[in-house]
Amino acid sequence: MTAPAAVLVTEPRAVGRRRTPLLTVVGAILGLLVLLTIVIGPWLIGKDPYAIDVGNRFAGPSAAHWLGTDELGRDVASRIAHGARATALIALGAVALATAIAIPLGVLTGFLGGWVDLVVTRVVDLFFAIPSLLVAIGVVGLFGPSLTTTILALGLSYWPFYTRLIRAAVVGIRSRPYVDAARVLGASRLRVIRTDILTGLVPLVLVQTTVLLGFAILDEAALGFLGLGVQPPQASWGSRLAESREFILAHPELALVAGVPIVLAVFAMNLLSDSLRDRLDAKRTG
Amino acid sequence: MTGEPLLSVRGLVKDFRERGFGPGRSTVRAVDDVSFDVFPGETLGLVGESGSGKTTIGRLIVRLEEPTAGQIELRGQDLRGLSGRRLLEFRRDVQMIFQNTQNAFNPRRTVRSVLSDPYQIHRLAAGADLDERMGALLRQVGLTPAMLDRYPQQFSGGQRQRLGIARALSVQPALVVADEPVSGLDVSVQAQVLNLFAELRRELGLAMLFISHDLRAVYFLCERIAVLYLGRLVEIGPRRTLLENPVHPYTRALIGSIPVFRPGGGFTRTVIKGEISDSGPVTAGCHFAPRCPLWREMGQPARCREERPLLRPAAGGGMAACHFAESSPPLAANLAGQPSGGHA
Amino acid sequence: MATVVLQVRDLAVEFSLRGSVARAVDGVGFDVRAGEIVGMVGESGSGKSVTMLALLGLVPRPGRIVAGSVRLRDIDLGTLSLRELAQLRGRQMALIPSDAGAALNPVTRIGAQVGEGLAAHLPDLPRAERPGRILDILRRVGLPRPEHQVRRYPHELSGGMQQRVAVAMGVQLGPDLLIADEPTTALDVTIQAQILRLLLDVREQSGTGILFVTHDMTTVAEICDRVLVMYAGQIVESGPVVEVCTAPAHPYTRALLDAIPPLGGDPPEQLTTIPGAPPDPRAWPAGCRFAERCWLRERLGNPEKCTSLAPDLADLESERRSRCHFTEAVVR
Repeated sequence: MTAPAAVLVTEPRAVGRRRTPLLTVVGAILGLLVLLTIVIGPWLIGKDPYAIDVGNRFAGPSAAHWLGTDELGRDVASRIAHGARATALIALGAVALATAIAIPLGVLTGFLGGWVDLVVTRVVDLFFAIPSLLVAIGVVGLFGPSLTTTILALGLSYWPFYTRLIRAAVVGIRSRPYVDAARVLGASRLRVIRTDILTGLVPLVLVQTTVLLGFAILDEAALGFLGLGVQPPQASWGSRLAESREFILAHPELALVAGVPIVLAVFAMNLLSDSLRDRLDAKRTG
Repeated sequence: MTGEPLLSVRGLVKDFRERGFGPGRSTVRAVDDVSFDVFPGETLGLVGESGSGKTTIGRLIVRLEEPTAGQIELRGQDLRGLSGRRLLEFRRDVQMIFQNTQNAFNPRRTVRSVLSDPYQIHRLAAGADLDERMGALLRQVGLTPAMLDRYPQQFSGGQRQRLGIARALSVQPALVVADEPVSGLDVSVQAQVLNLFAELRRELGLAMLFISHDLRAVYFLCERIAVLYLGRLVEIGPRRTLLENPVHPYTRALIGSIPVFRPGGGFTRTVIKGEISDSGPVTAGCHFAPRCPLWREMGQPARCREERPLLRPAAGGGMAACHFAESSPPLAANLAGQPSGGHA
Repeated sequence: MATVVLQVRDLAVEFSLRGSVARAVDGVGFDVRAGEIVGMVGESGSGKSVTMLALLGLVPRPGRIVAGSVRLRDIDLGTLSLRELAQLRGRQMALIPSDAGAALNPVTRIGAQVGEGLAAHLPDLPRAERPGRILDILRRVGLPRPEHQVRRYPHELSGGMQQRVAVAMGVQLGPDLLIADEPTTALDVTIQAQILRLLLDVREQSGTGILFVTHDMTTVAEICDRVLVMYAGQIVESGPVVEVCTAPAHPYTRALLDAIPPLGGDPPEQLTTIPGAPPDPRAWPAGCRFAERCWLRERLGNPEKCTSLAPDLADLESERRSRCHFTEAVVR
């Protein structure tokens, strides 16, 4: 038997931890890089991502084209920088949509309990049982592929599990003594939700936002790769991946250049969400 | 005890259903036909071990739970079905102090934010007046107004419990239910908090229901003590009678298992066999019978297993629920030699 | 006099946090003899838990032992590797945790869990004999119907029964030293009595030395032979229980005893309290660490010595020691 960590609780003054923030730094740098690409990338590169130059297809990197050109002679760097904007828009939109559904529904079911909880939770479970890719494909099939559809498709595939997460957190907070204390003082349900429940959800939502952003970037790429995402010639990371697919044997470097930003961006989101979680946890207990 | 009771509890029952669906879910009777009164300015101690139902009774009285059956009356007014404005008025009359744990306060809210809640809810104060009253409240419990902008984590355990007391006193209640308010505190801090309770009672004339497993704390603060076992009230009486002349075998066992502070006296606790969970689902009869030394001594009379003992008056002004209370041999008083307190 | 099983000398543990250093344990020394129960009493932040972890070689980061020695019989624990130390724990030195429910593995049956210790420390014991040994030890700690309990999981047992299992795991290999960390704090009072009775039986039967870490003076008074009172990282008083409890030689011990609410008679209007809070371990005061809160210092007219000169743990008569410049005034 080893000593339980719980014994430390009796002497809180003496203990504490300081985790090396190296991974946080890496995540922050990568995240900043992605942000810069989105904000000033297109301006920095200064090339039209839609200008076709058939005479200059599959050119290697040069001073004129930093990352070379694609199958239509378009500037790859510019397409990736512009695509980053579309992808970021989709990711943010999808996460916002999922959050907008999940928080009210999760708070409603988790806080009220009873038959509302029973009914709504079963419905959520039903949606939860459908593979998210299937939901996405269904939405695209219904509305036709476009940027808006991609937002809708991803947002709708994320909300069920997010709702369950929020509900579980609300159930946890609801049973805390400080919520009981507020009720005994006469606080209405709305007041308790505002002062105690929602504030308690902040860390969870912050962490989940970064996690979901990573997912959304990945899923946008997957939809794009399947040809169900943003449609050519509009640039996005997913459509870039789809375009390069056809030439993967002859020009694998195009697929590589299309894939690396996705990997880096998702990696950055995962690192950031991890360090965020650690910090918020430390704050709670300290 | 004279006059009208402030709080009157009659035949209180609370069943909890096990989680799950459909029929066949078993119910657990956490509180089983409990009756008692609390008079104005009086402190009643509610003692018992885990599973005794003492916390549930507290939660029923402050209306955090709805009773399955029975009545709770405040100044003669039935609290069942209270809602809206009447419920809000009741909230000003009856408050609760919780056990000091990490979660007694929302870690994301400052003391100012938490303490301003009651004043806003009941429209008692606003603006500069609010600041003034919150400052006065903190001073009343031995803290300083400068602490208003701190977070709960920045307080020590004893200070946080003072905050808990301040939160409950903000609406100037007539009755306070305190649920294990001094457990988990260091001995010296516990003494400070108990003194604060004693002081507030004297100054404010508060009535209190003091729920605790710690008989020493209860004895210091409560004029009367009620003992619970598995959801039932087994004995109630004035503190000295209950401690020095307990009638119910469980009360005797409980008092016997408290360490008597007599250095050199060795291990003097009574060790009673078995645990609460051993008794299993007792439907009829006395809940304590399976562990009861008196029951064994008397040759295991069937009556204890079949007929529920009712509370009836016992010697010394108390009441006990035991068929054979009169047969108990007098308790060898081994409570002498207590530290008397005070260096002066 | 019985052999010394644990000898601690000048033990110091430091925690470095954001540039400041907190010396949580500062020069602690004591012995535990075979068959003796030594109580270590203190409030939160007194250093009792860190001392205990240091004995077990389990001081968590960023803490480290910066001085002193710990000897278990004739082994200097400071010279052992982590692996050797792990071997020692359980066999020669065992811990009974305050919350057995949290310390037991929730997904392993009771029997298997008790058996793990046997397998790890007694590999030569024939497999066929293990179940018998397991049942024996569970019976010894008074677990009702052990043949039924071995197949159950920890959560199916009550708190008292979990604590019995923890005691069984602690004593099964006949350790020289048992460290009991608030073993009854989480239990109901009738169950507390049962577990304390059990610890007394263990001592009686196997002559194990027990270090009983607690905050509760009343329990110390009834089961310990000697007591160490800790305050602000140091031992402030030590000696035989009866003497320390009836005539404390340090003002802190006296105050701690007086803060216990009396049981019986007419209760006092006010309990005696200790004003203020313990000092910050990152900046221990120069003189006596209790001076700020000391009733005796006040009564003596705040002598300058108390805040300028750190008192030593001075020897008194009959194995007693006290860390106070004015011990005679406490005893009166």
